[in-house]
Amino acid sequence: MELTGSELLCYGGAALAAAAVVGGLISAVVLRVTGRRLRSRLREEYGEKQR
Amino acid sequence: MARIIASTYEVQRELGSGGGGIVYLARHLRLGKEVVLKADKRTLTARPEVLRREVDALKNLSHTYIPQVYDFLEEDGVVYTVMDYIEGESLDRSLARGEHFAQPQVIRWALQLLEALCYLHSRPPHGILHGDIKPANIMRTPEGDIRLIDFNIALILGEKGAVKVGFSRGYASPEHYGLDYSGLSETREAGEKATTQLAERPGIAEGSDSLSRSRSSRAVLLDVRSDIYSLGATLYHLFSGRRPAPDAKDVEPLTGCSPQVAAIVAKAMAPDPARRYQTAEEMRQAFLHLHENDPRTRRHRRRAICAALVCVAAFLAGGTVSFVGLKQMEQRQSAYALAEYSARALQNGNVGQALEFALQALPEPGIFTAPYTPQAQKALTDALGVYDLTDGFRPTGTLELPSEPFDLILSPGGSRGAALYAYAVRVFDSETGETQAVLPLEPSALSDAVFSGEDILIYAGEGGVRAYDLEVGEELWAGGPATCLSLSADGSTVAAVHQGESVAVVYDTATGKMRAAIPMGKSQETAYNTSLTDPEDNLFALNGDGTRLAVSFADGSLTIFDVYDEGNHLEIYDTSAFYHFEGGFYGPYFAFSAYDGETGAFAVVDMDTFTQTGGFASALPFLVQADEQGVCLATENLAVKLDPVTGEQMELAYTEGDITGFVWDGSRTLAVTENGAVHFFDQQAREMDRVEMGVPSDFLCLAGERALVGSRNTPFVRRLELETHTQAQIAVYDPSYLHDEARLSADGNTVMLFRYDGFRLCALDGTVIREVNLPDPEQVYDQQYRREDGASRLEVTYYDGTVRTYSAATGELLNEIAGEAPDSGLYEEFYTEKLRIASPLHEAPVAYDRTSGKRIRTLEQDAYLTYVTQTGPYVITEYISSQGERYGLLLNEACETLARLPALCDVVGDTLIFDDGTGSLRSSRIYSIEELLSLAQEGEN
Repeated sequence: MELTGSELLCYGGAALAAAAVVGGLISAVVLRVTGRRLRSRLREEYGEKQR
Repeated sequence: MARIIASTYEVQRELGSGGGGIVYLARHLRLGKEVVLKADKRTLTARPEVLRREVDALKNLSHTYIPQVYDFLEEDGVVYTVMDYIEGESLDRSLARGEHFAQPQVIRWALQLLEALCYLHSRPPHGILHGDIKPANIMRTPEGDIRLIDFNIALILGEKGAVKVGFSRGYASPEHYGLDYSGLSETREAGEKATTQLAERPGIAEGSDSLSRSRSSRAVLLDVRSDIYSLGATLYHLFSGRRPAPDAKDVEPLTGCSPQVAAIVAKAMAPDPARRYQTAEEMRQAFLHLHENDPRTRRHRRRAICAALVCVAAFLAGGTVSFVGLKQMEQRQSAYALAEYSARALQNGNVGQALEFALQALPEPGIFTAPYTPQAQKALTDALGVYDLTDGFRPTGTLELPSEPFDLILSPGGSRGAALYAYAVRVFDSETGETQAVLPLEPSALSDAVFSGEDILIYAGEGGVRAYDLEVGEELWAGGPATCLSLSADGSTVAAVHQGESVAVVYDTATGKMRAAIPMGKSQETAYNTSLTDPEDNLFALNGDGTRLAVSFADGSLTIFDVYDEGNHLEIYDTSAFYHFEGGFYGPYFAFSAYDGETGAFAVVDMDTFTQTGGFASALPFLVQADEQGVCLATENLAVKLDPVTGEQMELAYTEGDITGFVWDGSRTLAVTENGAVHFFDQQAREMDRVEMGVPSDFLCLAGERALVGSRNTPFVRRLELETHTQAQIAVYDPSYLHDEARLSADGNTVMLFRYDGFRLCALDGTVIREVNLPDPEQVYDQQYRREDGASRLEVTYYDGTVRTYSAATGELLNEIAGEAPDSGLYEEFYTEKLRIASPLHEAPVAYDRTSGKRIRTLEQDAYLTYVTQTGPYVITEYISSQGERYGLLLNEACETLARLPALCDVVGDTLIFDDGTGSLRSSRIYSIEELLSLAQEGEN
């Protein structure tokens, strides 16, 4: 079924937003894991973070 | 024997000695606490109060990483400082052993040292410099922390004068050597010596180091940056295991630690004090933020920020785009609905509302507006009627009454209309629908009204018959009680009778003076509630000059009274089973019909001779119109005009369904059928137009160019007006020549009307150029009218393959060629730029994409596709409906219908040619949507 321009905008936009949410979740997970690894490495190098 | 100092401290052992003096471990005799006694080598040249101030300053020091100073003693010319004993080992010993320290541990020590320095440097009034930071002056406690020991007392005071200050080679800042590297670049090119700037400054830096002796004898001021340098040098040693070069310029880059840490140390050890950390706190912050400032952390943070930004931006963009798309979809749905409402309003005859809905379905372009829908465009085109070039009656509006009407009338010229309902009569402008007067009626469904000319309304008003001047807005006269009225054809008199009365009164229409009273002996009143009575069942009619009055009665009798001669009545029916009478006078003739529910009768009576001149009987009722124009009769689906003398009939209208009502205005006929359609016929009884009302119509009025149609079942009255489009005419022809197709030549000079067995070639003024009968017409397979290179021709193809070509300029046979027999399969294909349209004979045509073969849309059902052409972005298809009606559809490239083109016969370039078979060819251009909107808005204004 051919979509009209408006339908393309609506569904395409929704798909983009959904992809952004999914991408954001994936990025958050990946960054969390890499961040944890980085913090561990930095702790090894510089010791515990002090205030 | 143990040595006692100041009678308080017992010296236990020497801990060490250096440039600042000798350090002893001692015990407080009373407290038993172990302390450190540091014997200062300097001679006492300071005044006692100065020394006391110094002690007080030191005694006030209290910091985790600085040993507490308890007291200051002077004995035998030696100054002793009493301070905390720090258990542990100095770092120089660990370094001497070759011990390697982990980077995190050194960083931790650096922070502790910097905390101590921050504390010292911030002591009032001017801060306290350590002056000799080096591994030897840093104690490592058993817990792994450090303590910064061995302050240089002289720096506390900032004394002037030649006070010797010890400094340690490699750890001391350039200032200690009296060197001033201010302005020195941090980077040094290979082989190039850094410049030194020596400044005259008061200071106390004087050292015995060869470096200082070789450089300058001038003094450089020490400040907190000197301590920072020393700390940096100490850290250098701790990180690398190597002592840094004494000359700051010769210090090799630090290795063996992270680049960020090396950078901190390098900055602390910058030869130019201005390039070092300016405060210990600054350097401390650099260490505290190692994690955050690490490039890997920055990179990670950047990635996180980028990812977040990208996701947020994508989400917002997607959300926005989706919102816009959703709004457009909503608007599109709304447009569909509005197009539907428009079509419905048009069907109900409400053209204004149809236009309004159509315009709403085509809003101004905007971000939330979807492209115009073809449905909305079609609704607008239909409402405007721009492509309907046939002459006919078109709805112009709908009048809504407070209740269903009893009757509708039009003035003789058609300028005013009147609707009678319970219980008032509303007079309105038939063009605009504007109400001009509302007058109270006699409360009876039998109440009547008649127009005397355009401006006078005579009606059965409350309490009596009344004449009202509509132009002036005044009552002219009033008469006695009345319900039924009849106006003479000459307009001079009006007869009136009340339903319950047995006397009819005749008035002079101009003055209201009673001319005669006719005792009828009985009344028209029925036994039923008059609100349920069908007023059409009663006959009450004056003749042309108002001298005779025909009256039917409830007992089925029908009498023609002589208005002025009581003895001259004619009783047509004494009593009968007939309950429905209708009729009137045409000259000396009285024509009427009667119906008893099973049998219908029609008769014409010559009132001069009192003889019947004609009559019919039928199982169905006859509809009769008899007035000064003539006698007309309708039954089943035929309406005719009847010659009352000869009985000759002239067809007025022939419909598909049974005629339930009709009116003839002397030239045109308006007929309604049982399915609710209203048909208009011209003088030749050709159907001009048809309007679907949706409900059966009970009331019909036709006068001039105006018509009214109404029903007892709805309070809506349709106003219609004759529309002619002679301005669009491009050619005329004799309509008696029946034809299937009409084509305009390429040069626009001739019209060819052709059918299966021949054609007639005409000039634009209708002059016949040539008429040709085709040989063997039953063998004709197809006829194609072609326009090429400015010339036009008709190609007639026979089943045997013969092709005869005729000139469209002269009608002559140009040539005859024997060709291949055509494929007699009942399948045809049409091509446009992008479409292939397949048209099987017994199936709906289907449009395909010419390139991809993809099916686009099924075209018109229940009609035969005869022709397809393309002009610009439009595709025009021509059809013959199952009822034989020719029409076209204007499509967009997606084959969606933009407009219906009734009676379309030809397309020449972008000009549409219409032929409704009445002898006139008309043309129209194709309107763009912008033009249509402009037309609609002009109409609204």
